[in-house]
Amino acid sequence: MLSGPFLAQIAIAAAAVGAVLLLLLRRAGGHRRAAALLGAVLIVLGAAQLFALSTRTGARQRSLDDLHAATPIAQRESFASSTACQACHPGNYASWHDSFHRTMTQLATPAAVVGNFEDQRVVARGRTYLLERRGDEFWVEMADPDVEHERRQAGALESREAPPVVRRRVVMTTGSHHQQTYWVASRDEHRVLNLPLMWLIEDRRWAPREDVFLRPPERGRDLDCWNENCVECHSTSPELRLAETRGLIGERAAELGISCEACHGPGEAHVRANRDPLRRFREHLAGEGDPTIVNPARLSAPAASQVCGQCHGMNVFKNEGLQPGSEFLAGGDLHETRMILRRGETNVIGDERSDWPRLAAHLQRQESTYLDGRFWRDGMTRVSGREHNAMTQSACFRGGQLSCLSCHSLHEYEDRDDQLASGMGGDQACLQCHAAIGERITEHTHHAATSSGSRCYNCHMPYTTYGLLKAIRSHLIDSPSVAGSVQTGRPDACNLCHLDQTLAWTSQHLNAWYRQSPPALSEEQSTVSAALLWLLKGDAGQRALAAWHMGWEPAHVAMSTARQAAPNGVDWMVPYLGHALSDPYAAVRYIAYRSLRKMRGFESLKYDFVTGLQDGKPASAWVIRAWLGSGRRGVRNAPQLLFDEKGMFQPDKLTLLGSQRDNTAVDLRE
Amino acid sequence: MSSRKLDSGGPDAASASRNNLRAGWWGLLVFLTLGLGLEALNGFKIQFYLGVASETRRTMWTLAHAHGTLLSLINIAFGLSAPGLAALGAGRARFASRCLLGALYLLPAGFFLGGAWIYAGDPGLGIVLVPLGGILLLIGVLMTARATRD
Repeated sequence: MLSGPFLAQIAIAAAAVGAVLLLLLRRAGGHRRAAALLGAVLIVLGAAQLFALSTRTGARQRSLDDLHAATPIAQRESFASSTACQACHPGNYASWHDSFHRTMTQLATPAAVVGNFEDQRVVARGRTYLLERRGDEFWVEMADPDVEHERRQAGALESREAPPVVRRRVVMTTGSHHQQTYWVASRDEHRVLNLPLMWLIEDRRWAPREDVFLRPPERGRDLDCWNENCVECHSTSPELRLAETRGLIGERAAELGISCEACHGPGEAHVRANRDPLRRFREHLAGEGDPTIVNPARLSAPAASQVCGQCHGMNVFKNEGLQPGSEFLAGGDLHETRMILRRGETNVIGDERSDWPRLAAHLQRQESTYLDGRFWRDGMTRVSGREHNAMTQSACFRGGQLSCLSCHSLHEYEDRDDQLASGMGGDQACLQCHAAIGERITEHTHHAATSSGSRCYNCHMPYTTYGLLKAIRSHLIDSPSVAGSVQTGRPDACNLCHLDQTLAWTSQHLNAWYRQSPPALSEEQSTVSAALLWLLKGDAGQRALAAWHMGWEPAHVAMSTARQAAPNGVDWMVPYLGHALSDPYAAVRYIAYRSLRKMRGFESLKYDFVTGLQDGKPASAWVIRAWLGSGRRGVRNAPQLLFDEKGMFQPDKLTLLGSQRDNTAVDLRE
Repeated sequence: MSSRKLDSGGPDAASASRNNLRAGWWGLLVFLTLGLGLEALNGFKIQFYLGVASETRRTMWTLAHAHGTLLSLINIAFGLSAPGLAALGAGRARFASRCLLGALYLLPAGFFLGGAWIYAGDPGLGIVLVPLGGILLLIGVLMTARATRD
């Protein structure tokens, strides 16, 4: 299709050619009448084209106006918006513009929407969703989301009686990196409700939202009002208030998505002050920073980290934090307006509850999973997006100068995924303070210098946090400990790489290398691979982490090269991953499937993690049969992997351990 | 062109106009070379010049090239036309000549130095030379223009 500007150029050119023809050929004698006619036709055509174009532009503007009317207001007093920053800070603006922070929340325009809306029909939990694209607009035919939302408020979400079907416009998107979810217009202006589907970007498929989060499957459909929850962190400086019936609500923010003023504070005064060039040069030459704006790089380590922690942390608003003018702004003290949640520090959510009765009641209702589920037993966060809680518990933060900006850079990052500063993707992140260890790395790690076992991150920030259908590095910087693993349930770094070894094996090495006292272990912990115990007997979070590590390349390398490795490398994991394909949690099934596809012979396995079926049939039994039939089943001298002395697979042991699965409800929703 | 007009400003004025001619032609060489240099920076995609964060530098150096070239041509034009402008007089001719020479040095130098050290969207301190050069240019052009009335 021709673009608007292109059509405008054609129209103007046609009109100009017509006019010139009229002028020139008026004097041409014989063809005068024909020339005049041709010129007039061209002029009329040009005018018609311009009229059509203006109509189309008008329609587009009306469409955009409708989007603005339906979505939260993106404008706040004393905030200048990111466009005001661009002129003076083009480099910083460009690095922000290229980041996933910017695209966290966007209006649903063709530039923002990545999901397939080309006449898609998606069925999930008894509801049918018809997705459609009309020009630049995205629409969905679905059960009335307002009715669904009211039922959710009333606690009757899974009512079998379907609400009337309505057609709603998709007006807003959240996410653009791994997943994208969509919001439809509600009955109320500036409030949006979610389409209960998620587009998985890498897999290029739709999935029910409830299956994309690691949450108890019996919880049912996942319905949200963006203004009641997501607004807190998926927009810049939202204006929140405590609604009588709905808890927190926000219909206005400085900007959708995470923009400049989320980290630098309101910028209007800064923009106004810096219209004066002499002032700007005074600031440049003084080199002390501009007091009209916050630069996190100039803040103390705790204050800089709180800028990130306002969103990348688990906290709730105190009542005071919801009063006009008392919200957290970059450079402020997060503790004044928010309560940082930690498990195990009872005083944090103890006496202060009386100050915020509504939120306390909310927390009381959810606590069994909201807190217990989201923290390991030692208080470390289990779910991603809460890195501030973990990082601030680290010795490097408490006793040192560590801040988020020690490793991350929002403007000079080397990769878009994690926004790590240049050189911080490897050991340098730690060696900038612990340089002496880098000089004797093998002595410190007892692994070859080039081994993944010598990488600081792998041992001190292992992947023990869950989020976004994968494992994510812990931001509590600590050292591997079998005692800690046994006490907290948090997998230790050694056994997440050496998946074929027991906790007793790890304990023995940690004792020999670091003089760690061996903890008391059960018979099972001494004889069965720790990873298998987590995968088969663990709770849903442990199962997800174990399944993810079974597809982790460094673990594959470690098992294939270590002297103690199972003789046939990583094949032994296939039946166990196959077993995980029937896990009750869709997120665990998804991760197990991804890991299984990294195994020889299963690269092209077709499996639907939502239904748990492979070609319409249960996948677990099929995978185990296929593996047994492949002739690669023998694993000798590896009783810890549940094989007998002849190297034969023992399905009864798998079944026995699987039957002991920890079915505690786990909610690791990000 | 008559000999009276050529000698209208006397030996000093003639010398001044030669200075403008010389500076103009050498300036043209310098600033066309700078243009080639900038093209090379474009061609080799040098981030110091082309990076998004270098937008101010790119603007400043482009302005240095453009102003330098234009001012060189103005100086050449002055060098050629001043001897024929009787109304300019010797003293004014020397003054206008110096103004235009000053503009030729200060304006491009200000832009170039302003781009050499930048503060995000702001140029470096060298930019203060630009308004000085601009004032000199205005004066030089105004004086020359007034002299064309006769």
